[in-house]
Amino acid sequence: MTDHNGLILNELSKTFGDNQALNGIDLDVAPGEVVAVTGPSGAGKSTLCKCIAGLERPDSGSVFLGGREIAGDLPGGRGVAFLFESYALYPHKTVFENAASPLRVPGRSSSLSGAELADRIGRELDKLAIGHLADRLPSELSGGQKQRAALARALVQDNAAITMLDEPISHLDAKLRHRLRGEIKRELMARDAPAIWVTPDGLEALSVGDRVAVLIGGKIAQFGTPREIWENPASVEVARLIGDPPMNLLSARLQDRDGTVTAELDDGMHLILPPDSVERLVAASGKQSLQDGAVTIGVKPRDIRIIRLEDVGVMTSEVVSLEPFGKHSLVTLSLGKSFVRVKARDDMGVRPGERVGLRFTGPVTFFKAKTGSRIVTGWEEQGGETERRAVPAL
Amino acid sequence: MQRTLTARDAFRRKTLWTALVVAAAAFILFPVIWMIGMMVKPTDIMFARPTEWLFVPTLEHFNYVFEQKFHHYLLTSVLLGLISTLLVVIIGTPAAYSFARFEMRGKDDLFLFVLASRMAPPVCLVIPYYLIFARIDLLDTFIGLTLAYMTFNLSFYIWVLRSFCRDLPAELEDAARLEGWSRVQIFRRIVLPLLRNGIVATSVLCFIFAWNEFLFAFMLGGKAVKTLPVAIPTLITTQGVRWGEMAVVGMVALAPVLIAVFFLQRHIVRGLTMGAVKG
Repeated sequence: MTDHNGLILNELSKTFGDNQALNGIDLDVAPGEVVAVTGPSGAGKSTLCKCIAGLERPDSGSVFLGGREIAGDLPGGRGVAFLFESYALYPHKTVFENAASPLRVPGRSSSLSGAELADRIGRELDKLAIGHLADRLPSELSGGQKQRAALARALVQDNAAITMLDEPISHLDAKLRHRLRGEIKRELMARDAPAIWVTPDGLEALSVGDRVAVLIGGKIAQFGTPREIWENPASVEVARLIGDPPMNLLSARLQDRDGTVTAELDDGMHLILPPDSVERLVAASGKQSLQDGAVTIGVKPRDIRIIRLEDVGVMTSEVVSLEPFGKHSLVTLSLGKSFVRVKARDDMGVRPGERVGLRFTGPVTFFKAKTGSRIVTGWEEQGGETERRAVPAL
Repeated sequence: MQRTLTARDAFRRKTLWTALVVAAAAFILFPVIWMIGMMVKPTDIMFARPTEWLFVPTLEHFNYVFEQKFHHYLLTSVLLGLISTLLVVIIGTPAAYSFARFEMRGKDDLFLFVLASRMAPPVCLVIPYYLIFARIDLLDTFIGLTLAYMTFNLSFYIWVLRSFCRDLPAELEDAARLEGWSRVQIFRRIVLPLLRNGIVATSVLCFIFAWNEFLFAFMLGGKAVKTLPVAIPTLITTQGVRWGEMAVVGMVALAPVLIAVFFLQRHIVRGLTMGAVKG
């Protein structure tokens, strides 16, 4: 069991009526660590935060914060700095008053004088580029400005026992989002308290989290470093959340023909699996034979290359659409009944309707078709190719 | 051929519209204007045929009204309305908030019970009130009437204000709780300021209900404590109906309602539409 003075959740569960919002959540956030919680909407991200904050009472499980079980503490006694997804700005108070509210609670240890308080809030508002809006009411702000006002209110609480930000930068324009992502992260890391950053955006989670928890259907689908989650998604669901565009997922059936294992795609095309991939697959699946094993094959859009059809023995597909982004192009191709998206550095000037070949150039992840859980991530060179490369960490 | 709307057309349209509005207002206001005339019309030409439009205004009706101590009844009505409404606000605001926010056993039943006292025809309630008040010596007392008014206004007030409370996002209070504010502080700092429009709008309606109330005032008061609506029928005397005096008292009775609506229009409209627009 994890042992530190940060946040530790054990077997946390919460049900609303028939809906199991949280199902046995184990999670820990060390002091000074930022854990990003990501997942599709309705996965229980906000409920998780509210259970930690004490706004919702978990049905079972325990919450430790600062080395102490806090289940019995009132929300106000937990020292939680919380940014609500809905902002929850007090409509009758100015931006300044809103941000000052947590520092003005009588009896709180933060013994800031009036001038110190004004200075602290002024700095935070300036950092979030809303210093000039201090005297405005929330109704006079745009969505992004409201979000930053709420963010200021959460971040001025330097002494918070934990900081939880529920979608802190989702309504900002791209430029500001990129800048603030780093600044907020640094501010949170400088504190001697754990922090949770909730975002539905998988890539944002990877970029801000020291570790990332992927929450799906009220369960932790995967909890690990951004690299682990990026390279070895634990399941098809996790793979679908991460990446822009996310991993390509193709159904396939494994066939063992006299020791040569192939993966048949749904339109009859097949990939020949190199022996080491087969060994790994066999070892990971715990079966003697791979015959008729239904799997889902995952390949990242950047790990597919478009090649000319002149090369023999390649998978052929038809270009459906082309989105040139400058440094790369996003090409959508039809492969049998499914679509494959390719992030191509060189789109070779393909046009919709054109037939091209595909080659997998990076790691391929195999998932169980039935449960969606990952079997193994291995290297796969496409049909006929013998070229081998280093296998990324398994 | 396509016709464009010229400035001339716009002007015509506006004029027509204004004329229509003035006509509608005149139709609605005619009885009020007629009443104002009656206030200062000498009794002997009150119903002259044809109507005498030109006359020397008289204050005789005003004199009679003061002789009959109508200013006392006016004061009674004002105090009764203000005090009962104030008490309703003090008791009803936390009650409405609690009904909106807190879960407790039998909450819905209790709420229905609160509403039922408003839904029953007043004449059904006034008899038990009479019997109870007679037993505990509250008949024809100011306290008795205040209590009676509070009961029927309280249910209305709680019912209306509860929906205002429900429209307040609970997360505002959650945010304040997390910051460390106590329940009472949150109620004062967050809830009350946001409910202000709702409280003003609802309490004005309560005051007007109390001001216009006749049945309870007539049955439970009547001698020592007489409100304006109860006093007006006393102008129907054995010597005939005193129309001029009735007009005077009627105008006075109408005044607070008009003033309240006029000054608080903004609050009432904003209050009654609050929650329709989020943000």
